[in-house]
Amino acid sequence: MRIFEPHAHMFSRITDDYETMALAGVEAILEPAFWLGQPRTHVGTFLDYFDTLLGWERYRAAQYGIHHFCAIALNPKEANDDRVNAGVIEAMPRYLEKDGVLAVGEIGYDDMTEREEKFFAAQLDLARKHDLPALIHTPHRDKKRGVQRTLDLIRDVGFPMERALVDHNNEETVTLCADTGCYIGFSIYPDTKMDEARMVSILQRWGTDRMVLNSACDWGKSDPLKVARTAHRMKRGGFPAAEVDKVVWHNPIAFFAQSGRLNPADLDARPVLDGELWQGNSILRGQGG
Amino acid sequence: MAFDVDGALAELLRSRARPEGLTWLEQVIADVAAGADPEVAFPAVGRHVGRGGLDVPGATLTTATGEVVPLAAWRVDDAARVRVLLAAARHDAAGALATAARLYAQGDARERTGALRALPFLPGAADDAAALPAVLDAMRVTQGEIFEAAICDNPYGSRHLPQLEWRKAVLKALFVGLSIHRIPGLDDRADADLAQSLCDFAAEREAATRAVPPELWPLAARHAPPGLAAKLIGYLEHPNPVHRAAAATALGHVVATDARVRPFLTDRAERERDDVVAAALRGALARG
Repeated sequence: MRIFEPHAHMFSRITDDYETMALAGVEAILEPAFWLGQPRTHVGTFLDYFDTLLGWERYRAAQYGIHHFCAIALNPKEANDDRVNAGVIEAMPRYLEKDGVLAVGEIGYDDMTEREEKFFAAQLDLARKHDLPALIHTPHRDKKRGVQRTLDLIRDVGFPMERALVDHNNEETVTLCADTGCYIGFSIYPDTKMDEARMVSILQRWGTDRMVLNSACDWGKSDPLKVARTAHRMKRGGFPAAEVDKVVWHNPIAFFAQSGRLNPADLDARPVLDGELWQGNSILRGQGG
Repeated sequence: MAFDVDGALAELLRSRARPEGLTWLEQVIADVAAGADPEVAFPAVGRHVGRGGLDVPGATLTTATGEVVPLAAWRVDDAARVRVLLAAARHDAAGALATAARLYAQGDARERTGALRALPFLPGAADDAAALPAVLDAMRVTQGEIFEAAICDNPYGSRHLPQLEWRKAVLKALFVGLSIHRIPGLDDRADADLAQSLCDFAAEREAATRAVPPELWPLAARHAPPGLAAKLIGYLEHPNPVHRAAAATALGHVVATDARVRPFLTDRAERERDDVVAAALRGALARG
């Protein structure tokens, strides 16, 4: 089983987690930009964070044969913070052209404020300009109304529904997303949002089309193996292997390949590590003096 | 006539880049040479032309001041990015190094290696340190390919790094397993301080019963600290011929000034069965 983990905040994980994930079948990770558990006070700290997602995390992942991609955004929480919001948006176009940036995200609503809506819409516009799909966070609280409002906004601004991955769904919100054509994301957590058993029930009820699972594995209590665990649960629940593969590998690839920057065939080769291309022997016998 | 770097890279790319990517690249080069900011296209280069190894054994480029740069570690996108920066230099020669430094600062790892690899071919590379901040930054990063691009096969870094940072670069190259022979001008800049650091590094490895990179011995022997000659004489009996050869070459630097060395070189030469080591021993004796 090959896993494309479509939403993992590796920034807050230790390097050993990459190895554990690789052993569990994770071959590719997409890391969306979000907040860091504490508000930032300068635009520069966002840029350093973006550079970390593009550089350091890719490097850490490659050491375990994992392809690392990312999504760049001003997250909904900090969209409310006037110290950083406009400056981050201004810097984003340069990042959205980077190799390995496969989407704009996480964007969306958190408390459903006016500022959140303004920057959500502005970033859907950026996604369109840079020809990228959008990874969309939905609120923890007041979720049903939040998801409905998310779908309404996507429709109102005319953003193509199939290029939106609406994330953090549950039993209630999946009914709202089901017929819209968007990709439907689920974050599997130890205690909150969604668990493995409930997820299997949802898949049995709603099928596997456009369904995408993630571990999120952020700074809170979370588990980077949740996709693998849920896939295992699906098999125990009677899903054929092809259906499991569809959910944990083909669906996320199909979504992010809409960026035009993800060639599925490239995932068959492991990422190239430092210095591998230098064919010369590092020990040149008797030479140099 | 000066070596045509852009022409050579264009020729190499012709059979190695994706064909549709080449059309894109030529358009970018035309736009940038006409004044477009290269920062727009720079991140997208790999997506268009590919990212695989250039894979041309033995290929080299030559800088305006005659330094030969091997391309063994270059990838297709490196070659294309160097061409983009050469186009920027045709539009603004005086600002080319600063542009490369800016693209380095804004770039991901692939963009950074491309910007670094362009430096020795840009106007003013021989005497303008405008891009030194990029080289210094590259020395501190953990991503090995960025450090490698700044230090190995890159005359710009070797030429402009201050002596302290240059010594640290040599030591870090050894430490991370890169061949120090890829550092241009190595022998010219080596000094007693570096020799001491190399010997200390070797001692630390020996104390921990870990492997010592043999290629450090000849460099350390150019400014041999006390005790090194004796240690190298011991290494002439090392079971690994790579160490014996390196020790022999290193002793060639001290044989003329240290009378104790010659008898041991002669003794080993009489018993040596490995051709490469034997040649190194003959070379060392010839310097005595």
